[in-house]
Amino acid sequence: MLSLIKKLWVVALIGCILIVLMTLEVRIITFEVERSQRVIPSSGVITAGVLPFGVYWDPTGTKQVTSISWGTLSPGQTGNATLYVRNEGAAPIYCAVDWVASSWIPQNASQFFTLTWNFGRAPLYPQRSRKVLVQLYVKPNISGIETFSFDIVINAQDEPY
Amino acid sequence: MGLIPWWVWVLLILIVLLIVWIWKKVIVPVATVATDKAAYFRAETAHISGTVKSSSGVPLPGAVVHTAIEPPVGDVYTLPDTKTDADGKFALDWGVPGDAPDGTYTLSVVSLGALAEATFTQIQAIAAVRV
Repeated sequence: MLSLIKKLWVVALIGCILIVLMTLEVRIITFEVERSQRVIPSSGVITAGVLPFGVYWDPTGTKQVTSISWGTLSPGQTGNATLYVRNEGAAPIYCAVDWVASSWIPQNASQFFTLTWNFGRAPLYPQRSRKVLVQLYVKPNISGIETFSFDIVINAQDEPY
Repeated sequence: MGLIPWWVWVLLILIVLLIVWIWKKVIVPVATVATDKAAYFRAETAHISGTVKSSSGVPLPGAVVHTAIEPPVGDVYTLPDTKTDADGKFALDWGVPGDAPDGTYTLSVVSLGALAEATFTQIQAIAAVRV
């Protein structure tokens, strides 16, 4: 039989554990909320100039595009990626897509690919997003290349291209 | 059974109950959004409102709410970010542009990773003239 003092110690111990666990729970909630608010910086695959704009996976602009995975493509096939270009400035912008020639791995791979998108020539007005389809076409005569990578550049300017 | 003191059993039961309680309290954000009307005319103001709460119904104050309105054709309208109040509620007004195309619009809000969508219609004002 436990004495009264020992029973009181047990109750006190349980109380302490309860307080510790409740504090832990509050910390878990706080951590979850704060973590959801963080913005992950771009890794440099998409580059931006002085005109403020963003490239996102979603129309609300919460998932920034930091890289595009084209998956497995066969000769003659086209890879698709749907993005949202968002004008975050105060003036209309015009955008164009290109790739960094020196970024191709392997270096001779660029001759076997074609990169296009359907952004169009219309200006993108401030606080609007445009849904664009980026397409990477693999030419049928591709040979000697199993994997590839390159940097896509989206340029924006205040005059039509 | 007889070898384990009674207080160990009580402690184990309490710990299990606490784990279940904490599990239920861990936040899984749930967002809702709605418009005050199902259809709007051009130049009319749409009142948008919604909530951001945990899956157990606890309001999440101070959560940033990102909003976008996708028209049937053309560019997406992005609204300024807002935050939920102490009750986990948010509200926005959006003036339907004068050049807004007719059709169904999709309203999307994202907060704490939770997505909510609603649709509404923009209808052209028709003036009927009888002669």
